Amino acid sequence: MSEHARKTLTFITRKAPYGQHGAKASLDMVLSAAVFDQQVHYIFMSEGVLQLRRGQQPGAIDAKDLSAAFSALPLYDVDSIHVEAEALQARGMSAQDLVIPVKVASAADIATLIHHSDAVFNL
Amino acid sequence: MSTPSLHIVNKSSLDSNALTSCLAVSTPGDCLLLIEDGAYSVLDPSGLQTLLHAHLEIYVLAEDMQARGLDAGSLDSRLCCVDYAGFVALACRCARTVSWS
Amino acid sequence: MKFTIVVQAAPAASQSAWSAYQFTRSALAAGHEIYRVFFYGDGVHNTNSLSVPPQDEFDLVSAWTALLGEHGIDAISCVSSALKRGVLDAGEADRYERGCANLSPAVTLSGLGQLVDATLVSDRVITFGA
Repeated sequence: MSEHARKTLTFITRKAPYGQHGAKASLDMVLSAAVFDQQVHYIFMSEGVLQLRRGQQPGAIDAKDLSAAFSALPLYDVDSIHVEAEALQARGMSAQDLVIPVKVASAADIATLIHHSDAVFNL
Repeated sequence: MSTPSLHIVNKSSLDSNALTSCLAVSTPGDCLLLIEDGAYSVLDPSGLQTLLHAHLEIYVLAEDMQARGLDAGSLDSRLCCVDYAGFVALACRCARTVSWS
Repeated sequence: MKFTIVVQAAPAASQSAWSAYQFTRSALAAGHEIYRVFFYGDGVHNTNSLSVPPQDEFDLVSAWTALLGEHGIDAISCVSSALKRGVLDAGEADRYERGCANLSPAVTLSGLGQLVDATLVSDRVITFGA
């Protein structure tokens, strides 16, 4: 285990689940970083907000339920979870349509998070 | 202390929302480098206008322009063409990289 | 500067894996250190030594093996990404009775923890091919 100073790692995810396979890759990275006790920000932008949508039944396509996996985030002390306001709005969604509590973030909020990060992954 | 980001965009603004998303969350003073098909963004007049209004330093990767038949000589003067050595230098100068696809 | 390079694209699927390779070469040429190259997701296809590209195409898998070996760079393919995509070392080939190991000799299989570690140790992390 590294003995370096704690870093702020930001993970942005912009892909919808199921049709493409990037969503789980992001989540796995977030959980790994959290296990290493780093400050983690998890940001859902563009189509990525759809990963958190309620009511998914991926069994219909022999896929695993990604939305269920998000309930593990508090167990890993990942509580800085942000969803792009404009992406929700464009899809006629609100925070009530999501499976976990999130902070709805403006573009300026997200820019600030990025600007204060040591590393950013945008998968 | 200034800690600009290097945003790296590899999709054309005519084909993807990667550049739009990037610009929305960039900070004035950040650098933006167009690589791979991102270089085709120089063919998008309205996309370019948006780009140039974002208070960023804009770069395009020379090898990707050359591969695609894009003439570095006819680039808007506010865009800068860099090669891979320049790409590495940008990554060093900026505090972090953010890749947009 | 100490760099970590993250490669997420397969060599045959897009240009991004080549861009990562070129950036790595250029960083080395400028005297920087490559702390780790981490192949994640479809990026593990860059470490499949069974691939046979056409004669008239650039052999990126071999190029990575040569570059990583020549400079003694710590190169890792994410084990879960690799297994799923059929890129196996001898141990995993035995364990899963797959009959053949194809992981590049310049690369080892390991977990995401190695990427997090690399991020903590490196000055810069750069990702290609999300």
